[in-house]
Amino acid sequence: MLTQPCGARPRLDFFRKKSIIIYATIIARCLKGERSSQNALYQALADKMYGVCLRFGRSAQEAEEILQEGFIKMFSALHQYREEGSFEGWVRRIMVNTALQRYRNHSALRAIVTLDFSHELMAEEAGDLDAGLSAKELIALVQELPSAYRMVFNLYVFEGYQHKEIASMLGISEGTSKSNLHDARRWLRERIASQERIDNLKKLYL
Amino acid sequence: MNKNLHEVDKLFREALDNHKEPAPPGAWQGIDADLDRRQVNLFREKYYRLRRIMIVGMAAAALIIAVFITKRTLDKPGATLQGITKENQPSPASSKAAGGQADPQGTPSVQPDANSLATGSAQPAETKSSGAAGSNGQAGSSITDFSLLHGVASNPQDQLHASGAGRLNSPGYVAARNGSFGELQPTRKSNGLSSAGAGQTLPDNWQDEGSVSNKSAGSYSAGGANAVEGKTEAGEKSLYPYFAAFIPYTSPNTSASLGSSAAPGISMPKSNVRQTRIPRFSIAAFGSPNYSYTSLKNNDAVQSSARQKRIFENEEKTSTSYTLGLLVGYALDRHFSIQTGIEYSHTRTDIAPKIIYVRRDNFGRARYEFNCSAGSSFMDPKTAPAPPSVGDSVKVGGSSLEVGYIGVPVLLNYRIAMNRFGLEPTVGFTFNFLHRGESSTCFVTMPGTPKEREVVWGLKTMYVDAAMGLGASYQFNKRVSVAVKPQLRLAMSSTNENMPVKTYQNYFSVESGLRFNL
Repeated sequence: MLTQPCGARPRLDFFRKKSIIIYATIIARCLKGERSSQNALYQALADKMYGVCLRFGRSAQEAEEILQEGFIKMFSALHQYREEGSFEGWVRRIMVNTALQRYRNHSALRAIVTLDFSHELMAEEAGDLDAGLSAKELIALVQELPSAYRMVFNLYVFEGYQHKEIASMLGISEGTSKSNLHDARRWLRERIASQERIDNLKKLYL
Repeated sequence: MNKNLHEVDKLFREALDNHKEPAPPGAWQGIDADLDRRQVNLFREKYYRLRRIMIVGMAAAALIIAVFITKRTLDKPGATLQGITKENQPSPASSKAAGGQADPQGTPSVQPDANSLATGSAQPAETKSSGAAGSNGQAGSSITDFSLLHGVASNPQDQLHASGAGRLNSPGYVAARNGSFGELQPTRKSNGLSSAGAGQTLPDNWQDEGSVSNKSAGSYSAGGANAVEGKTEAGEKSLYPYFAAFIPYTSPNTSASLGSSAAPGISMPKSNVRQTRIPRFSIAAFGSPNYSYTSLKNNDAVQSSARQKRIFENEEKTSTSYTLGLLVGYALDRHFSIQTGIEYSHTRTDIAPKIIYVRRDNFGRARYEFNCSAGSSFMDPKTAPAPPSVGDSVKVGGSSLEVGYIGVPVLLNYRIAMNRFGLEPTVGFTFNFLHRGESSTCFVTMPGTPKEREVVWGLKTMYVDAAMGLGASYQFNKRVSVAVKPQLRLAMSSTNENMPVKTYQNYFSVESGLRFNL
């Protein structure tokens, strides 16, 4: 078994510390209300956070709204950051919470959609997943999921929450959370399989 | 199957976990504009808070200044000493100078002999009893040393006439003249000393207190040599109160010189100055119509706050508001008192007709949502032909919002007394606990139906307001007084939370009620 090269860990720590120092400096300036520092902080984090928002939003437009709302919340609550964990992680949690808040506010107006599994058998027959889909395509698939499924899938797969936590966050039962996750996986699996077939057909005939 | 499904997780996690996507270029502009707006709101909020603090501070400063001025006025020499009953104060009109000289402060023109009392060798000085015609002969003739101090004889008309020119060598007298009689001094000095030369009507209550030890013609021995016999006939005014003026001198300073020869039966005379007892506890019942002013502020957490605020400002108007209460007061001293108790404030706000929509409530039921500045309520019209579904709308009219709070005020009062009248500046806080928050609406599409009443969600269970006022009171007697107090109550915290606008409930009230001293 190969061990990590000597000095790798300290080097990582060094960069981590350096990054903390840089963030700390920018945060201190942001707290004073310097707009240029706020812009710098936004530029440093925007791309990564937009990636998160895209997964939670139904569309790019909604993702942008979540991003804006999240950053505004972050700047308002910056004084609450205790430097106990990663700053990026803290901002990411704000984005996720903003998306959840948005979902809760609008959930009453959303129609309850059930997933159609008409191609279930074909999906089950499909082999290992090797779709070769790009990140953008995968994001598009997630966005196509109904809101409730998308939320559960994102929270479980990407954010690492347990069903109990998800249930309390979304105001649903633990069983519903499990069921939603299962359905979301099946639906995505089927869509990926069908995408594979389309790609294979394209390769054959074009 | 499960393996395949879990591979979905793996696939997505690997592809998207640290995925970056260039943020849209217009996103920062939106954030920038919002930050500007928030900064403006922050400054505005700070300004409002500062304004509130300044108002409370100014009221407190005005109260302190009023206290200071009143205290200085009362401390001035010659100011009416509060707490001395009216009947104890000498009446200048009845004073009659029968001879001798006395200055207006009651300082006699005679000089006391320093050794007259201590040695008991006081010479019988010229004693003239100008009141002899009407006085009891025994009393008149028996006045020797002490009566000489005052040149006093009593007569049935309760008038003492001093012939003056008595030579007095009493240190106690000097002490009295210099005003060292402590708390009792003003009345003592006036009664005892000014009459030395001027003659003065005896106060009515002399008999009550002075006659106790003089009924038996009590003797007052000074060094065993000079005895003063204050024999009086029953019903006559005794000379006792005159001796009382000398007690502060006799007791601390000359008791040693008097030695054991002082008559053992003589007790310290009681004060004839009755101080008004401060009633410590009081109960006040009051009621007041209120002018209620609801101040609305934007809630920055809600995007459409400014628009909602404008809508609510146009739609809502306070119709009636009143406060009823029962307060218990405790007097800290003659001026300061604290008050607490319980009060109930009720405010009714009329809301203009508007269209409301069906939304799902917190329990997932589709109901009509009625929004107002205080909060929102979900209504389910009982007479509706069909259950409402999301997206339905209906026009409602005759709507109103009724909010009731049970308040616990903590007030500090300062009383400036002017005979029976009094002024009472007041500052304090009131802790208001939500008792009732209800909206009632009439569905226009279904005429003749009763109003729908529902609880308003979003109201805080408690908020605090600062109270300041200036009360005027009139005292009927020792127990009962009536008071009117214009009072301003400014909300220090909003009455609702998590709503599009923050509501601050302010009142201007004119409280009127009765106070009973216990």
